[in-house]
Amino acid sequence: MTKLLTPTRREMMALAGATALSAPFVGRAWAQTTELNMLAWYGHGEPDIVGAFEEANNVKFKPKYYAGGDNMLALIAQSPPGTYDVILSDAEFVQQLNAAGYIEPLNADDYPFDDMLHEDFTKFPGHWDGDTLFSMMVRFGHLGVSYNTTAISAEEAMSYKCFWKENVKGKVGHFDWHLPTLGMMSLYNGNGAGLWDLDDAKWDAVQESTMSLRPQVGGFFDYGGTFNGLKNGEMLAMCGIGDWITGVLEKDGAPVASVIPNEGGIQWTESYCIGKGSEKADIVKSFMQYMLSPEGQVKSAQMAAYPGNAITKAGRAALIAADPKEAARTNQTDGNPMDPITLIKDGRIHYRNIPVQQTLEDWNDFWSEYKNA
Amino acid sequence: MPAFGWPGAFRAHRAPDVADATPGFRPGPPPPPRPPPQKKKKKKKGGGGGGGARPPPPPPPPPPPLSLPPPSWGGGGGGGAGRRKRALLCRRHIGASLANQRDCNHGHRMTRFALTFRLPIILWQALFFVGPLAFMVAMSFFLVKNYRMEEAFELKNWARMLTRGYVWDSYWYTLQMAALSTVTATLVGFPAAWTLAFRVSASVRRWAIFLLIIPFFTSYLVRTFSWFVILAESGVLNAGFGVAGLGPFTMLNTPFGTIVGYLTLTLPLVVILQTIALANIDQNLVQAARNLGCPSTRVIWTVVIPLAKTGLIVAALFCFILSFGDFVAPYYLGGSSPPTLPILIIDTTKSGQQWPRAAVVAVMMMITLFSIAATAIWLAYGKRSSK
Amino acid sequence: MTRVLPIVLYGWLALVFVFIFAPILFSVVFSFNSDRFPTIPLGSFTTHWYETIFADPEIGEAAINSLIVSLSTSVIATLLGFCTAYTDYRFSFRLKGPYLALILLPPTIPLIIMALAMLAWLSWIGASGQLWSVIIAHSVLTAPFAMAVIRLRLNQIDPNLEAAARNLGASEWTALREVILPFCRPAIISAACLTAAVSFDEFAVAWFVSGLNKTVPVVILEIVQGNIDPQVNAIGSLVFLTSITLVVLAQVFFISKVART
Repeated sequence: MTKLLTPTRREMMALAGATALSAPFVGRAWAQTTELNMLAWYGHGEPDIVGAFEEANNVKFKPKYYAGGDNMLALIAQSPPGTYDVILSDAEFVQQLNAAGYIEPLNADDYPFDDMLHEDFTKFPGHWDGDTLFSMMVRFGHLGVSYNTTAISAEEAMSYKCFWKENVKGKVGHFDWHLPTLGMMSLYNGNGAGLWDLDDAKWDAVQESTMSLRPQVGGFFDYGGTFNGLKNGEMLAMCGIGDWITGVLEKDGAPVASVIPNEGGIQWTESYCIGKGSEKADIVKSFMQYMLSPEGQVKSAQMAAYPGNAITKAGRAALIAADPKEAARTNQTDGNPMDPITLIKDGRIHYRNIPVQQTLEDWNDFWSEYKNA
Repeated sequence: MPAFGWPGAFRAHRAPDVADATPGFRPGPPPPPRPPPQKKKKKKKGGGGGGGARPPPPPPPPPPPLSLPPPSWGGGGGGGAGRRKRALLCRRHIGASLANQRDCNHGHRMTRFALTFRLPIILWQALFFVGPLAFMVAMSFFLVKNYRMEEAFELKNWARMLTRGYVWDSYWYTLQMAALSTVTATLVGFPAAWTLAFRVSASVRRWAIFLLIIPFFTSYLVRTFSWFVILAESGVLNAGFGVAGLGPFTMLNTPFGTIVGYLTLTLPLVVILQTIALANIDQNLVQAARNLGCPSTRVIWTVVIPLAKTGLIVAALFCFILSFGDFVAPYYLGGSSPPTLPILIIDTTKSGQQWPRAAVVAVMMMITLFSIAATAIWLAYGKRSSK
Repeated sequence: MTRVLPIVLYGWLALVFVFIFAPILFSVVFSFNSDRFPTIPLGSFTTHWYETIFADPEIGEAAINSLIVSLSTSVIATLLGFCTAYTDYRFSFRLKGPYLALILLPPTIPLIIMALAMLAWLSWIGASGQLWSVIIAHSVLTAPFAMAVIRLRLNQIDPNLEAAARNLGASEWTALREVILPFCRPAIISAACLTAAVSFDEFAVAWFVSGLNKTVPVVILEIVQGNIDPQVNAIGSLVFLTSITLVVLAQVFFISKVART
C-alpha cells in the first residue's frame, strides 16, 4: 500500500511496544508478582501502608477507592463477582456485604482476639454471623465536633449547638454523606444510644433539626474538599467528621481540632474482609494479620490519608514507643481520661450503624432534599 | 474534462445528448458558496458542516469515448463488467423520465465500495452510542433490589423522581445556571472575538486561536483545583482586594464560583467559535452598510450579528450543553450548594446503586437539551436573510 | 470615543486571556510549591511532587494505560471519521441526515450522561472495567472531531482529481488510494493527534467505565477527591506538556502539508 499507511503502522508498533512495556512492570520484571485488587476508603492502598508488605511478599495492590458504605456496595454490585480480593468495609455495612454474599468466612483463630483493648472488639456487632467470623476489625476513630479553633472555643465545641453559632454562618461544611451527619443530629436531639433507631416522630424531629442548620451551611464536600475547606479557612466548622480529617490538618499546622461533645460521639470502625471468589485468600489473610500486628497497627495509626486508632494492646504499645507524639495527640495512652477506649467505656461513644426503622434510601433521599433546600 | 457529476459521467452507454438535457438533471450551478462556519473541532448537529462550501459550477461533461470500459458499478471494485444494479430512483429527479433518472450521479448505488465506508460508523455507533442511550432509557424503568438491578417495566422510578421537590428544584437551578453561564460567556467572549476577527491581522488571529486551543488540553480538573487558590478567602484575589482596602469576598462555594468554573470550561470554545463566525462574514456587506451611512454601532446590531448569527448561536448552544452537563464546577467551586442535576446523578449512583433513578434524571436532562438544541438550530439556520 | 475603543477592546482581550490562562499558570507554579495545601504566601521551591509522581508505580501504570487508550482511540476514531467524512463527501442518499447525526451527536450529550449510559450498557454486555471499554467509549466520543477535520480537508479537494483518476481507468478503490488518501493525509494525521489528545484528557467517562484500570485523568480525579495533593499540579503540568506536543504536531503537519499542496 502507499506511504499513507505507514503512520498507522507506526502507531500500531508504538502501541505494541507500549503493551510490551507495561506487562512486566519495572522492578519486578522477572518475578511473578501477585496482584491484589482492593476496595477501600482512600489511602489504604498507598505505599505508606502497604509498601513494606508488598516488598516482603512480592505482592502488588491495585486499589479502588470509595467514599461511604453505600458507595462501596454500589461498586461491588456493579463488578463481576471475584473482582475484589480484599475489601475494607465500615463495620455497619459488613452485614449487608454478607447478606448479599460478597465475602468469605474467616477463621477466628487466625487473629489476635485475645489482645483487644476493649471487649466489644472481640465480638463486634455485625462482624459475626452466629459463631462465624466474616470481617476482621482493624482500626477505628471517633466523630464529633470538628472546628477551627480561632472561631469556636473548646468549651463551645463541647456541644453540637456550636454549629448554629452566629459567627460561623455560611461557614459550616458537611462531609457529603448522610450517615454521620444525621447520626450527629440524632444525638443533638438527645436520642443517645438509640440514635439509629428512630420512630416516625423522632425521625421527623431529626429532619427538622437538620433543616434548621441549613442556613449555616456553606457547602457539601467530598474527601478532598473537606480537607481543603478546613485548611484554607473557607469552612470554620465541619459536621460529619472527626479526628480522621482534622488529625491530618493538625499535623500540617492548621488551627483545627475535633472533640467528642457532651451529647456523645460516633465511632467509625473499619474492617477487612476477603472478597467472595478470590483466589488469593491466603495472601489476603496474611495481609490482614500483618495489619493487626504491632507494625501494621502503627502504620494504620500513622496513615498519611487519615489516622485511625489501634485496637490491640500490642499495637498501642508499639505506637507509644514508635511515635509518642502522635500517641499523645490522639490520647492513645493508658490512664488518659480522653483515651478513646475510656470514652467508649463511659458510654459517650456510639458505634455507627445503619438506620433501623428507615432505609438507607430514605436517609439518602432526605439528604438530597437537604442539599437542595 | 470530466465534471463534478462524475459518477454518472462514465456510463458508456449514456446517450450523447444527456449533456444538454433539461437543466434539472445535473447538479447545475449551485448557489454561491456560503461561508461555512468552520469549526476546528466540533460540528453542529446534522449535516450542517457538509453543507458548507460547494465546489464551483461544473462545465457540462463531454460524452466519454465509447471505447471506455464500463465502470465497475454493481459488482464491486475492479470486477463485474457490464453488470449494473438497478439504481434507487433518486428523489431529486422524481417526475423525470426513467432514462434520465438513471443518469443521476448522486451516488446512491449500494456498491461494496460505498458500503465499506458507510457501514462501519453505522455499526459502531449503533452498538456503542445508540445502544447505551437506549439502554439508559430502558433502565429508567428497571427496579433495584438489594443493590442489584432487575429488568422490569415499572413507572415507579419516574413517579418517584417527578414528585420529589428536590429534583425540580435542582432542575430549575441547573437550567438557570446553564443559561446564566451561556449569557455570561457570550457577552464576555464577544468583545474578545470582535477584536480577534476585525482588529488584528490574520496571523495574529491564527496564533490567538492556537493559544485558545491550549486549555482544552490541560486537565479541566487541575484548572478547577487552581481556582481554589485564586478565589479562596485567603487567596490571591482577596489578598489583592485587601491591599486596596476592600473586605475579603466569599467567592468559593457560591453560585459565583460555579459560574467561574463554567467559564473556565466554556470560554475558550466560545471565543474560538465566535471569532470564526465573525471572521467569515462577507465584509462587502458591512462595507456596503457603512457606505450607505449606517453608524458604526448600528452596523454591529443590524448587519454583523445577523450575518454571524449561525456561528454565534452554535457557540452559545455548546456553552449551554457543556454547562448543563458539568458536575465539576458546581461540586468543587460551588460547594454543591445547591446541587445541580449532574451532581444528583452521581449522588443517586453512588448511594444504593439507584441507577434507574439516575437514568430518570439523565433522560430529563436529555429531553431538555434536545429541545433547546432543536430550537437553537432552528434559530440559527431558520430564515436566511436574503443576500 | 473611537480612540478609547481600541484600548478597551485590546484590554478586554487581554483580560479574557488572563482569565483563561491564570489557572494553568498557577497550577504550574504550585507544582513546584512545597506546601501540601496550596495557600498564599508560597512555600519554598521544590521538585518533591514531581519526584513523588515519578516514583509512584501506579501513576506510571496509569500513564501507560492512558497511552494505550489514546493511541487505540485515535486509530479507531480516525478510521471511523474518515469513512464517514468520505461518505458524506462522495455519496448522497436517503437518510443521509440521520446518518450524519449518528456520528455528530455524541458531543451534544453531556459527558456525565454518556458515562452513565456507557457504564450501564457495557456492564450489561459484560465489557466493562477493561481498558478496551474506555477505548470504545472514547472512540465514540472523539470520532466526530476526526470526521470534522477530515471533512474540512475534503472540502478543499478539487473534485476533478478523483474524476480524472476514474476517467483514466482507475477503479474506485485505486482512486481512493492514490488520490484521496494522500490528499487527506495531513488531515488524517491531524485527526489522529487531535483524537489522541482529547482521549488523553477525558476523565468523566473514563472514571465511570475504567474500573481498576485507571488512566491518568482518573488518577487526577481520585487525588482531587481523595487527598488534595499538589501531585495533582505536577501531573497536570506533565499531561499538559504531552497534549500540547500532540496538538503542535497536528498543527505542524496540517499547516505545512496544506501549504505545500
